[in-house]
Amino acid sequence: MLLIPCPHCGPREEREFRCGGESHVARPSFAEAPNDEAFAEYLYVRTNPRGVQAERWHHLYGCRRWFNLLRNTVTHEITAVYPMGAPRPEPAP
Amino acid sequence: MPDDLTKAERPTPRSAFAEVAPRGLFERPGVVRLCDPGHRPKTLLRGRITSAWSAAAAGVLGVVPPEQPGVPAHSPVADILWLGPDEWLVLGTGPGSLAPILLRAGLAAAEVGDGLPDLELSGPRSRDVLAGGTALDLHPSAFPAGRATRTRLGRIGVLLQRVEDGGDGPVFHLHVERPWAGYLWSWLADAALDHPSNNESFPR
Ligand SMILES: [Zn+2]
Repeated sequence: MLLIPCPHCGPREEREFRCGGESHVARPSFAEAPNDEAFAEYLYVRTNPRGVQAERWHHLYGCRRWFNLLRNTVTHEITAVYPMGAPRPEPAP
Repeated sequence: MPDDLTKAERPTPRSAFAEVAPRGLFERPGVVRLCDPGHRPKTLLRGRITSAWSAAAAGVLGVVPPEQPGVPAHSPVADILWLGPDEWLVLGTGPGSLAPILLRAGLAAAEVGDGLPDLELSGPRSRDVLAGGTALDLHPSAFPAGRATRTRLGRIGVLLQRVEDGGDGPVFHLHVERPWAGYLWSWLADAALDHPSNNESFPR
């Protein structure tokens, strides 16, 4: 069971949240000519790292806000929590 | 439409717990007591916090809505529970809804009392019964009387409010979206059976 630090409510238990998948997946622009390959990549291709991954989480049973976090997919360690729209934080040196 | 229909009084709202608890009461002596307090107005208030917004809200409610989770704000007019960074539940202390007054002050408000009933859970084991369904730390050092938060209980979301710690144990109010009211009542009554009652001699 994960204890997830909601930026608004503080640490809460995993079952209060929904995971929205990988963060920073850029949506292809509609302004350009339709490009099936780019959209297929946007929909289906994920980095799936063994290690630190940026994820979107929704505090569904709490403040109902979305936010980003960095989670290690091996150890579950959460090393950063940051707002939607913000860039992925640089790893600590 | 005939005139007399438009003039007809609004029927008393049917309790959200009527299906599972026609008497509006469940008691397991020495464990918990569930009580349906009946309909009361509740107002959902939305807004982005600015000094002008806070002043307008305080002008109606008598107190600035809380900016942080956990501790509600109180005034003679209302208790204001933090739900999210731009969302509050206003429990008026009077019989009428505060939504029209908030709307007239230019604030985004909606009356949600019919859709968000609550029940009162009290008794010596009320904390233990809740702890069987939520991962929230309910110890008085972490969640003392006066606190409120949305959380998950069993399979549903509830707004949990610890109203007071009386001589007969803590008193909680659980606000729930109306479709889940029957589930919440049944879940609590069922969970209460896990604890030995005063009237029973164990082993059964
Ligand atoms: Zn939250």
